[in-house]
Amino acid sequence: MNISELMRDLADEAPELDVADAALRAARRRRPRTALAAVAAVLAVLAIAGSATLLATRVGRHHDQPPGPVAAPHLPATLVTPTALDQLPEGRPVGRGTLLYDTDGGMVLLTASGHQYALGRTFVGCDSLSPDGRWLSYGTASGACALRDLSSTTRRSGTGVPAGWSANARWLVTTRPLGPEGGALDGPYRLVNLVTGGQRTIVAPDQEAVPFAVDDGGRPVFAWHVGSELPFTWQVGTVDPATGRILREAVLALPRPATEPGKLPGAWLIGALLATGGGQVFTREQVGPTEMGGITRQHAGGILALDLSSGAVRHRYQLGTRAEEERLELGVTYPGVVLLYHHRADRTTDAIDTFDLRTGTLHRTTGVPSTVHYVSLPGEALQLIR
Amino acid sequence: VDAHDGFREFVSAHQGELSRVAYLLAGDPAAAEDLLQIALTKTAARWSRIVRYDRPEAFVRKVLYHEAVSAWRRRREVPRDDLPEAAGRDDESEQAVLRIVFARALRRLTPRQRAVLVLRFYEDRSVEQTAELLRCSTGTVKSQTNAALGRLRQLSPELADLAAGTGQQEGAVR
Repeated sequence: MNISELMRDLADEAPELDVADAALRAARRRRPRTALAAVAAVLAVLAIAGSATLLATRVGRHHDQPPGPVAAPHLPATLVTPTALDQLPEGRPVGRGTLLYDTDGGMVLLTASGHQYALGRTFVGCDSLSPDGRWLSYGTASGACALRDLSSTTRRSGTGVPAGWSANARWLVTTRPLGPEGGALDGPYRLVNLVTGGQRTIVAPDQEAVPFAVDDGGRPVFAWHVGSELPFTWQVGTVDPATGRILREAVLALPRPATEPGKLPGAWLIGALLATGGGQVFTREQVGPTEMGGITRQHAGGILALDLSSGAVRHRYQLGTRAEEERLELGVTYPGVVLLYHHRADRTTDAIDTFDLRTGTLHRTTGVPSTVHYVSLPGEALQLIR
Repeated sequence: VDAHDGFREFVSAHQGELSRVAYLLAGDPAAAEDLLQIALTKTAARWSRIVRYDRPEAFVRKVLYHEAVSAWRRRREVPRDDLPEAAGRDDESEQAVLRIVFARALRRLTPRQRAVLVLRFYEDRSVEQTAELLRCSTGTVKSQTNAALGRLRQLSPELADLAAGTGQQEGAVR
């Protein structure tokens, strides 16, 4: 047997994906957007005036001291996509960003003051906002990533694809740089000092290790698996960027499939809250399978907060039972808050939800139009939401 | 006249092959559904023009590959284990075990590496055709193919001979 035969065997296992009607609905919704935009704007104002929180469902349990103060980003109650957009001005500051999303015409930046600017068609792998919304990572015409300070006109060129921002927005750790054709190629991981503009290559502690976070002191955090037998055991380590020496490491005490009957194996790293001398790593637990639209889907059933020093589970937050046609995808973590993407099978009422780790309460934060496929909140990479 | 006349019939005629490519590129049914729906939404939005093409399905495939290698596939998620344990390995035929191992290893490749392998070894495209579809150089296709085969060898000892043999063939193609 060769790889071609294996590929064909594997392809034969593919389910029939009947998405023609859903694609047609999505395509048709895009066309009348111009006419509907004014109505949507009025509805958005009413929604903001009426209630910022559309959904408040008590789920999960409060365990002990929360990770820190709540600092959810400012987001509108409903995201309204304008019919005409100004380009992001080259020569003047525009203020901090709160959201990036895509449209047919390219990426759009929403600022804290409510203005929206077109970023044009750039390579989406670069698009990300720093946790404080000040720095925008964007793709240049040559396929490279660059940074722009939205509160001034300062730029930093030659940065890589964002992998993690430090909570204090001073550091950015990047993954493989982009090649001339736009793909991620072999190359070094980098650490960018956003204050000075300095960049350095960082050494990975293991060939398999990938950076996913950086602490406030500029020490990147890598994740890698131990051994080659499934299920993998995951390890995380804070690393000296100059030598690759592991300063602190922990084996993550993730639940094993054998001890979690009824749950599909799957704990996924979703982010980290790091501070000097410690921090937490967050994972989501996938549960399922769930039948949605005739196919099997999985959704997040809980959030695990693991101590970065010991790897032990410090908090376990259950997201509660969802309706059959709903699923939750975990997004980014803030101090005390986890943002989730809320999906329905009909893909018409997608939204960004906020899960408050102090109270175990789920809130509806922002409704997202069905024309938007990618969203990025400050501090995270671009997420496909539908 | 509906601007989408014939779209459903077109999808119905090609649903099987498009599903298989999306599944290979995405690695699981849910992600494959997302991927194919994005590709078909883009196709539907331009259907009145695309329907006049000689091979409209070529457009869908192109979008599928571009979407597959775009950034949303490169999320920071790290799968701990995304398949249930292969129950009763002793009871499985060698071929079935190999297929399971291959599917797992394929998911651990980068989207671009996976796309290159699907084009080269599933669709039997030449290096030049692959480069054209992915809008990159032939050198990139070759280096990504070698990197992908090397990664397969690294990830699964069971695939070492297979990937090595294919790698030699790949070298001969050059």
